[in-house]
Amino acid sequence: MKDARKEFLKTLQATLEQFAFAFSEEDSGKSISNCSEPFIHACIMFSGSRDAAITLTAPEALCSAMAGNILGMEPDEVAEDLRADTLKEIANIACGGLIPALFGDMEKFNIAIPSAVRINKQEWLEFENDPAIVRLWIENEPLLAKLAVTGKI
Amino acid sequence: MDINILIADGSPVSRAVIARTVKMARIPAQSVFEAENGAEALRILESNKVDIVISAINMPEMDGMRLMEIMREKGLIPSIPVIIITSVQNESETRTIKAKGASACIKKPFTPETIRETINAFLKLQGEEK
Repeated sequence: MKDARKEFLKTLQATLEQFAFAFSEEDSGKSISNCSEPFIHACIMFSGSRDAAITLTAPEALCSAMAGNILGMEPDEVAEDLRADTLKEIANIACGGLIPALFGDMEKFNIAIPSAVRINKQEWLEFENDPAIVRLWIENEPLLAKLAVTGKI
Repeated sequence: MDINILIADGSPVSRAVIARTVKMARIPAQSVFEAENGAEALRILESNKVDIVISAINMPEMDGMRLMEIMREKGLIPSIPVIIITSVQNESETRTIKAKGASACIKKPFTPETIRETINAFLKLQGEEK
């Protein structure tokens, strides 16, 4: 049986490095409570022999920084729609890498269009209590990631 | 030889990255058109001379698979090479994409070298055919 969490973390960290030039480390002990609003919550779902969803949640400031890295501009020059789109695209690329890692080379999956919404501090803090969340830190900004898969892999 | 490139991707960040990569890779592009889905890409193809299409698969309204189907119906494939840029690239996915008429498949995240080498390979082929 594949270790889905381990594969997810490995794929997501590789995506962050290669696409967003963002180096992350996992730290589940550090508090996320003092992060400032607003936050962006991106989701991508895929279906096939299993149904699954990947969600990524991060302060908008981190999304701006990553978009700046990708597009070669200062974070404060990044337009609002590009901040959310960056997180969606990271979810999309991580999803694409995860599918063959978890399910092999021959299985066919349908990947939905990624979506993103702005969330408030209360919604952000609710993630803190979710035991399935992976907490990554990128230069003192947190990124909360979750993979939910139906059934066993 | 200056060429016209059409980039179709639902993600504005991804389109900007591809356009920037084309520029950085010193591809001799006269115009770089951008479309956010397959339907918009078709409208651009109808009214402009396009030499190479670089498209995502997963797009709203009309995806890259349907775009290639219509391009083939209209006789635009194989004369216009379609380079598919996809986040998923397992054997099953690649086979399906190639069967629809894609000339090449590039996995996201890509390097400027990959884009440059792929486009240059088609430019060389087109040059040899002329």
